Amino acid sequence: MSFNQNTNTTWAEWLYGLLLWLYPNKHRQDYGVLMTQLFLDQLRDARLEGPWSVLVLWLRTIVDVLKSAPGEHLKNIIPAPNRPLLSWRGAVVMVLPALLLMSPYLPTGKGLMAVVGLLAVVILVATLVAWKRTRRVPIWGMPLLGMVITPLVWCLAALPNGIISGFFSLRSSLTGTEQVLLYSSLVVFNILQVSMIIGLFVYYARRHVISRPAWLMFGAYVVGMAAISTIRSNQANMSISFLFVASSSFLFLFELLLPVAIGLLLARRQGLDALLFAISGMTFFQVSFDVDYHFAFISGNIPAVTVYNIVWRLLVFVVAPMWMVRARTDRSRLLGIAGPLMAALVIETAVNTLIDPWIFQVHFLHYFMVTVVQPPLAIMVAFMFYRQGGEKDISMSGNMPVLTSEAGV
Amino acid sequence: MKTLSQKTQGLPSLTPTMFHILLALADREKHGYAIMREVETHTNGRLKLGPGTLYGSIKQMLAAGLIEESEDRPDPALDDQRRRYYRLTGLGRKAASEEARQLSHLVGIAQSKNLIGDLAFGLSAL
Repeated sequence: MSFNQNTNTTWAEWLYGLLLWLYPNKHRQDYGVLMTQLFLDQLRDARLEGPWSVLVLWLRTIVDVLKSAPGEHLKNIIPAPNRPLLSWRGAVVMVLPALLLMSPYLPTGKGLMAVVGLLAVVILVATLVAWKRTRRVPIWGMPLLGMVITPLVWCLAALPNGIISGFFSLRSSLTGTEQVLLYSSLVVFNILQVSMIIGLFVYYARRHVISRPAWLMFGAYVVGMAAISTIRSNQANMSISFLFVASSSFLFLFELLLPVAIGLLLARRQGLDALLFAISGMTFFQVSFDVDYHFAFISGNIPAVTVYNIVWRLLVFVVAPMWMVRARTDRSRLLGIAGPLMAALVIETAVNTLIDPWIFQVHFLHYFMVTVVQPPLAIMVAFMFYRQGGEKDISMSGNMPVLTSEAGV
Repeated sequence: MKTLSQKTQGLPSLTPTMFHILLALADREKHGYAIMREVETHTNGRLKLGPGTLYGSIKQMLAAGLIEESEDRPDPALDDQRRRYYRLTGLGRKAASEEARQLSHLVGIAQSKNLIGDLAFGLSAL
C-alpha cells in the first residue's frame, strides 16, 4: 500500500470513527472495532474500482449510519423483554424516597419532616466526623445534606411570613427592595438544593450509569416543564415573573431528582427506577395542583383534601411504580405508569368542572399542555431510565462507595 | 415481519437482512466481511449491507440465539485475529429453513397464478 493510500485510510478510519459516535456507547464498545474493520475492507474494494466507487461507498455508509444508529438507540428505550423482575423487597426500597416526598401531605406532615430533618442532622454530623477521620466524604452523606435543606424550605414555606408563603400572601404589599430580597432568598435556597443533587448526578454520570439519550430526554422534559410554567405565569412584570418561574423550576428539578439520588443509594441497581415514579409523581403534582388548590380553597374541608391528596399520591408514588417494576409484559408496564396519570387527568377535569367550570375555560392551554405533552414525555423518560437502571449495576455491593475529597465534593 | 408459521412455531421473527445472513452462514462459519460479500453475491449486488446494518442485525440474532460466535478459526495463515466468526445455531437453521419453505410456497403460488413464467428462466434472467 502506498503512502497516500495509508494516509487516506487513516483519514477514513478517523472519519468513520466520528460517525460511530452516533451509536450508543455500549454498541460502539462491542462492535465499533468490527464495524470499522468492515468499513475499511469495503473501502479497500472500492479503491480498486476507482474514485467514483469510493464516493458511492461514503454516501452509502453515511446513509447506513443514519439509518441504523437511531435504531440502536431505540432498542435502549424499549424495555428488554428478558429483564429480570425486581424483588418485592427491592420494589419497597425503591418507593421509599418518594414516600419521604409525600410526607408533607400527611396530616402530621410537618412533624414528620422535622423528625426526618433531625435524623438527617445526626447522620450529617456522623458524615462530617467520618470525613474528619478518614479525609473521605461518605456518599450517603450527600442526600442527607439535601434533606436537611428540604425540611428547612418546607418549614419556611409553612410559616405565615415564610419565604414561599410570604411570596403568595404578601407579594402585593411588598416594596421593590423587599421583593428583590424575597426572590433572591428563594433563588439561593433553590441553588443550594440543586447543587447537592447535581454533585450526586455528576458522580453517577462519571460512572456511566445514565445513558446520553436519557439525559437528553430528561433535559427536554425539564425545559418543557419550564416552558409550561412560563406560559402559565401570565405576570405583568415578565422579568420578575421569569425569575420566579426559573427558581420554581429549580425547585421542581430538585424535587424530581432527590428521590432518584436517594434511590440510587438505597436501592443500588434499582435506584434509577426511582425516577420513573418521581417523574410520574411530579407530573401528577402538576396535574393535581389546581385541584388541590381549588378543592381546599373552595371547600375548606381539610380532612377531605388530605384524603384526596394521600390516596392519589399513594397510587402514583407507590402503586404505579411497583406495578411497573413487577410487570411481566410491556403492555402491563405501560398500563402501570399511564393508568394512574390518565385517571388523574379525568378526575381533575371532573372535579374542576364541578367546582368551577370557568377555571377549565380560562386554563385550557394549561390543561392541553398537561394532557398532551407531559404524560408521553414522562413515560418516555421513565422507560429510558427504567431500561438503563435494569441493565447497569453501579457496583456498590459490599461496601458503600465513598467520594474522595479530590473528587470535587 | 414475522410469518404466520413462525408465530405458531414460536420461532424468532426474521427480517430480510437476517434471512440473508442466515443463508450466508448456512454452509460454514464466516466473519462480517465474508457475510457481507456473500449477501452481495447472492443478491447480484442489489443488497450491500453497511457495517451498521450488518452488526445491528448480528447483535439481534446473537440475542435471539439464531447465530453464535465460533471459536473455530481457519488456517492461522489465512486468519485475521481481529475478526469474529459467526455460525448458525440449531434454532437459526430451523428458522431459516422455515422461512425458505414459506418463500418456496409463495413462489409456487405466484407461479400457479402466472405471475412468474418459467422459474428457471426467471432466475437465470436475474
